[in-house]
Amino acid sequence: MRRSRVKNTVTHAVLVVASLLAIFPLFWVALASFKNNRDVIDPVTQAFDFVPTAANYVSLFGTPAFVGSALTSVLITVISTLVVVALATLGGYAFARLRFPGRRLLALVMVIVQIIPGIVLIVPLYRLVSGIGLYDQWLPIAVIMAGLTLPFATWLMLAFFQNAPLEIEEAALVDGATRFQLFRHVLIPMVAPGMATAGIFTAIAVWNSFLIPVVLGQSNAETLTVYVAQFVTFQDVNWGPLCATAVLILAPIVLFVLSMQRSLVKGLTAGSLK
Amino acid sequence: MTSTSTIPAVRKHPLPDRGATRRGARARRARILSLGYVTPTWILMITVGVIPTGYAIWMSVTDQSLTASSPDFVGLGNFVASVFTPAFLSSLGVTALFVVAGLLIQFTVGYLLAVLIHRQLRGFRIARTVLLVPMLLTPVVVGLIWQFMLSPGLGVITTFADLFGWHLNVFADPWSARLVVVLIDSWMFIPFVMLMLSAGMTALPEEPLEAAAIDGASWWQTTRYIILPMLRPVITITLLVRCVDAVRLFDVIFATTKGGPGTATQSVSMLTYTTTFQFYQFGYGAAMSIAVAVLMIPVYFIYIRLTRI
Amino acid sequence: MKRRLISTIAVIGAVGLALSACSSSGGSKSGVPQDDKKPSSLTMLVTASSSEDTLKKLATEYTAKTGITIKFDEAPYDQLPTKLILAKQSNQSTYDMSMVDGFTLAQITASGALAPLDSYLTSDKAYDYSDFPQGLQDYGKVGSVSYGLPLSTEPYLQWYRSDLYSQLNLKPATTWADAISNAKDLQGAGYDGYDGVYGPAGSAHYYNAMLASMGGRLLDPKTYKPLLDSSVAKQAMKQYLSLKQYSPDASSSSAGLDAVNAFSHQQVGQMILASGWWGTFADPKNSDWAGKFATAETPLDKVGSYQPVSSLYGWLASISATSKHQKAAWDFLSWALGKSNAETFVETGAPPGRISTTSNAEFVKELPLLPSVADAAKDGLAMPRIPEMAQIVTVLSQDISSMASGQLSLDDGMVQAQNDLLNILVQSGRYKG
Repeated sequence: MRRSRVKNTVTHAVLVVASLLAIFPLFWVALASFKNNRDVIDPVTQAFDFVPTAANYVSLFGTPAFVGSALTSVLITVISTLVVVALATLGGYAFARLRFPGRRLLALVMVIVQIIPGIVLIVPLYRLVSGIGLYDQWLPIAVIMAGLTLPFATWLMLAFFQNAPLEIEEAALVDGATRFQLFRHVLIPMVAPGMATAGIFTAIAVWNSFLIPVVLGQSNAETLTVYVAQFVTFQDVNWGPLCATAVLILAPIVLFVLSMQRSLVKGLTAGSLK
Repeated sequence: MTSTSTIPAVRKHPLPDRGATRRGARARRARILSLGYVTPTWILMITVGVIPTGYAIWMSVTDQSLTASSPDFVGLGNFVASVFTPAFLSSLGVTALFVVAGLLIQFTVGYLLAVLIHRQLRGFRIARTVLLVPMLLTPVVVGLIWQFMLSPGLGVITTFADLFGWHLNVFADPWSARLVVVLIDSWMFIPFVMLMLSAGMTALPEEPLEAAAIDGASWWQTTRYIILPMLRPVITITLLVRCVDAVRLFDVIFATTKGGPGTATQSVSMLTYTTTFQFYQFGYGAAMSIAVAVLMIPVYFIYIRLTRI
Repeated sequence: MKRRLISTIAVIGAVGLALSACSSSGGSKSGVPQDDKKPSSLTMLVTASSSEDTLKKLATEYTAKTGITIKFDEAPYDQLPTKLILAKQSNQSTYDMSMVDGFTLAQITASGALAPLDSYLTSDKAYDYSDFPQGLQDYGKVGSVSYGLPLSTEPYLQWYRSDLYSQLNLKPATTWADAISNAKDLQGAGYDGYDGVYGPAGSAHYYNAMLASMGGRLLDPKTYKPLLDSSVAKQAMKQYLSLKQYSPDASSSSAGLDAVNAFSHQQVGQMILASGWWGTFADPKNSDWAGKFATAETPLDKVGSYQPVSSLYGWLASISATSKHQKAAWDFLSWALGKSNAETFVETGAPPGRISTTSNAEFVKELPLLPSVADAAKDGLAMPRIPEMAQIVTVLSQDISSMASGQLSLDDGMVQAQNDLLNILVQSGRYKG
């Protein structure tokens, strides 16, 4: 009895320390984002001795480049996530239930796309995109990010479809449901947690991507990740505005995922690991 | 580059198509029709994967540079000039170090945290939520944040270390710089390992564990002989995913050490990026990246093996 | 499965070869059709600097005058060439104009990203190109073609904290021995005696400045043979590395901007840095020591066989070869950088080195470093205008960083640096040794 209480205390202590380690850098950055450029480089001993200011945020929202790149990031993330979830659901279903020609070949190609280092693809993609005159636009970035994240999402959906009971589906077909009705009323409700999981992972990957946007979106189609890297300028490292931008990049994805955390954990447990 | 690429351990074989149970033309027609489901995927894979990879292979055997407008075929010349060089080999060593050290740290800590989470004590959901956060963050931003916290004279960590008379200047020394890169990467992806392993533990059957408890097996014996073997598929997938990502590691290095001091943290992706986008030696860059892709062929096999699609 | 993988790779390779046939035909086109109508706006690629600040100020005035808006697209310093070259290779007129750092000029022009300016220079009398010393005209040239207008003229100078120097009774150094003795005294009094740059990005510039001031050169000016095996190169490196002990901790991984930050916020006694930072240091918003610093010439020592000189850096303003509005871009740049706006540039501390500016007594009173600018514009040493320079700077910086962090000894490091440079230059065919 006493041993297990000690064990519980240790468990709690370790989890608390680990949680603090996980969250402290964020707290520190959030703190710095409310300081002016002077306070932010004061010695750490005076870290809490400052007058909080929202100036960094206000000036960010007054900067067209920031607003533009924020919109680009949102657009790219939303579009590729929607595309990926739709295609992965179709593809996952096909891999799980249908015996289509070229099945193994497609799987092989998808595994290669998933594993190959992005640096292999980046110059060819850049040349192709500029060849068709779409350089520095959001559309090719969204399409490419969708392509690169699609294999994972498809495997995830495949696992979900495999775990979904076949009987309901067959009953629906016997009742004369069309393919569309089957998807709309039977399959999608069954694999909805899987779609949520796939969507979350895709959104994280796209929102955080750097290498593809830094090469393909130089000015019009600049994303937030590329924008923030610019704060390290030749003149000065502007830690105040940098931290404010960091908070604004991190906050949406963290809030989004935390609000959907249930389905993330459930999805991983139920779908991919059985 | 993408941190969340994973693949489920799918073990079942696909169910037979309904059309296949009936014979003849209808079955063939159903099979062709079923291609409709994967046509968009095919198109995307060909445009984003197959064509660029083919293009990269072509670039790696031609003389591509800033000024060469119509490149000539140079055979394996680029490989000779860029891959079998001390710079590339040393960057390969750096990458190997990042992979091995990163996996060791991430697996050990991630496993222990997963065990603690799996005990499901009061508040474990909150802990799991908080512990999840680092894996959601943008790698470039994470790199900048850690650089901020580690900078001499200004950073919170360095100041804290100073209190103990420990004069930290992590980016000045090759080994501490390498360690910092590994630690930042681990900070971000321990949560991923933890999440995957704890999900795997939830799915474990109870009986063997109960039997072991009755036999009076120690914690270590249970872990070593029962839990780890049962978790093996999950562990393999998790480590494989982390391995693939560690080979790609770029953003964090780009935002912190820029490969320094000297070339101590210059990984293959960093070297390839510099060669391509600072020196504009497209042919050399392509040769290096193809070499890395080839070195990873065993990983493709393990992936395909494991998934049995 | 194995066979399938191999055949897949074979198919991918075949696709690539097929593609190569299509793509190689789309080679570089020269000359973008010009749109002669007055554009409503022009875009300029810039990076944070006092040159950018001044151009922005002037752009507002220009818009009021002509109705043409100037948009500024800001990029990090080290991505400037990348952005220009990628924009050119995709044949898109993203930028009409750009700031270009002198030593990257040859690399950028090799890609065909910049428009030659000679016809404008000879026809535009108001701009008065002859107002620039020959050395400065050459600064914007690759071969014999002009690609850049002087935007800022920035010789490397000795910067020191005048308050600390008078307190400790020090004099600005005229030789490197003086500089080291000053560093010792400053450190003895509890300050940082020097601020070197030892990180893997850009430290080669600072070493190069020291080398040139000691009568050495990185490359043979005629044959481009690397000269890091010379005794002056080694002596300069030894001296450069020895100054690390007087520098702030962070300098061991620093780039140029870290040194700037250290000088403006910490207690750094002296350093060698391009003159264009005057505006940053003189601005109390950016610097704790505004009004408490001064400049002097780089210390000079006759050690090597060349003339000891100070190094010349500085921004150029260029016009994109892909711009559809090259004439309009010229009109803006030649107006902004013309004589009538010299005063605006003097106010922000980094004017183009026109003779009429540097010899103007009133300007000199406002910006005391102008005579040094005039000297350097005449005989300062710029980095060789060859496309390999960016690569040389990166690789040499890495070698310096390796020596400074103890991964390589001085002897081994110099051998490696010489070999690295030889490799680069022999591979590109620049040096036929």
